Amino acid sequence: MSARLVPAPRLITLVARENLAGFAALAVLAGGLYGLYAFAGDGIGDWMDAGATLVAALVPLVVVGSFAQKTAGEDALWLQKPVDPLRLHLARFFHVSFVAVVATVLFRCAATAIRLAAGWEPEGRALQPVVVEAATAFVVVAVGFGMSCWWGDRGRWTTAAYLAFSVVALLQIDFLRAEANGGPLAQVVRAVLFPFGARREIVEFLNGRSDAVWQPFGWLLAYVVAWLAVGLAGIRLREENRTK
Amino acid sequence: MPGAVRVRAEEIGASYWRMFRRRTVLNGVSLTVEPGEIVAVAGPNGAGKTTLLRVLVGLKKPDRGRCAIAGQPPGAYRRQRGCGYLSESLVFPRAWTCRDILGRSADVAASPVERAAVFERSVSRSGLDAATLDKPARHCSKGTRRRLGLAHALAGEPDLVVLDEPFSGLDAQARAALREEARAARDRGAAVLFASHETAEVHRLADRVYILEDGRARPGPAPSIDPPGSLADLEAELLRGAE
Repeated sequence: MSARLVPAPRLITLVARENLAGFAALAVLAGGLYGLYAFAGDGIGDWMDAGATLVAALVPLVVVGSFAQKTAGEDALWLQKPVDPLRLHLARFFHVSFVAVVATVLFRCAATAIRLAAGWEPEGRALQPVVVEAATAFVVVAVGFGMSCWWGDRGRWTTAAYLAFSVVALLQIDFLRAEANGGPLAQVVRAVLFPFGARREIVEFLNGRSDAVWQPFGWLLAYVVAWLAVGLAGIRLREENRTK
Repeated sequence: MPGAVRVRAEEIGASYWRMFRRRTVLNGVSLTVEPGEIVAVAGPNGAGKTTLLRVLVGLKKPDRGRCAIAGQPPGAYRRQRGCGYLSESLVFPRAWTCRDILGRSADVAASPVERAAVFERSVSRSGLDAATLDKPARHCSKGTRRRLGLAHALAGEPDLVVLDEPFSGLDAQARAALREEARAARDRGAAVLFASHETAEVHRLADRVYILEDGRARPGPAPSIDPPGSLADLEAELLRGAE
């Protein structure tokens, strides 16, 4: 039995190369921020953290664009062969997720290295935020997968709009607090919004302020599974009713 | 013929939405393609050739009518047995080299024991040299991309081969090679269907011809009919449709 001619590591490399331009743009953005830190010292440490988090959110959005190839190239090429489209796209999802998570970790490592080189003394583990950022990247890719399976090229932008909407809704703290314990509308909103709550609980756990870790991770996983299901339903529907 | 595939389309209707208006492209097209024959669909630009091929390979759902490949709906057939489809507007994934595309094509089209042989056959079919194989496909010339697309379509020796404007962008040598490949597919029992507005190529390659006009298909003169239709007959038929 011969191995695959284009094995999974090569497919993952291709996903990374397809997104080189986006990564380069992010690297310039992050490089500016980190460079500023190196000159300005610890005074902008908070900005540095915010910047690294922003980069962590943008990395998956860059990679999510790869799903659009479903309509441009991959669809036409591989789906004419005897393959199960769900398996094909699910494999693509894992390749894209891998690239997004690795890129996020690399950006955070670079940011941390620059801060440490400038004399920063972290209170806890310097790379602690990377767990949350990698998990966030994975979830954002799942959302992007779900969206792009329905809207193709526009998946990246609908994902960005959805994240923006989630952030704005999150900022409506009064509304969420008032409704948090009961109202059906709040339950719906909380279920649909990006799971910032679970993310925050993981941060709390990492900072030693909470013991709950399985529940937030379980919630994130459920969220990923739900968006995968949305995407796979979209693929099934497209397969049965394709348009030009 | 063990893998014999018969294509049958009956009263196919298809349309698109453009600027909030529905445009009917196919209005009751019926045709058949038997195993071991090459059938051409000819017609002017905008006649609906591409739409018809997309319906026949299950890439577009028809508004009405019935379409079956080996007795199955096209989409189900394609998923189970695959088909060699060369689309008119072929867009390759970014960053993929020709080698990646042919390799992946062999991966998904062939069994593990056959992969290497299918890949070698695809490389030989495409006629690409080692340097071109390692170039990103999107940076290759149009003719090279068409040859690559054809090699990809034929990987795994599918029983159904559907080619949309296959001669577009090809030089004389590549055209001759394409005709050879199509005839080889026919001779091993595959059903070959292609759409083209190049009358001379249609006449040279096809066993039977359908002329698409006003959303319907009618048989046209072809070399295999008795008495054999000439190129002039075919051109006259096409012009009659255009008028």
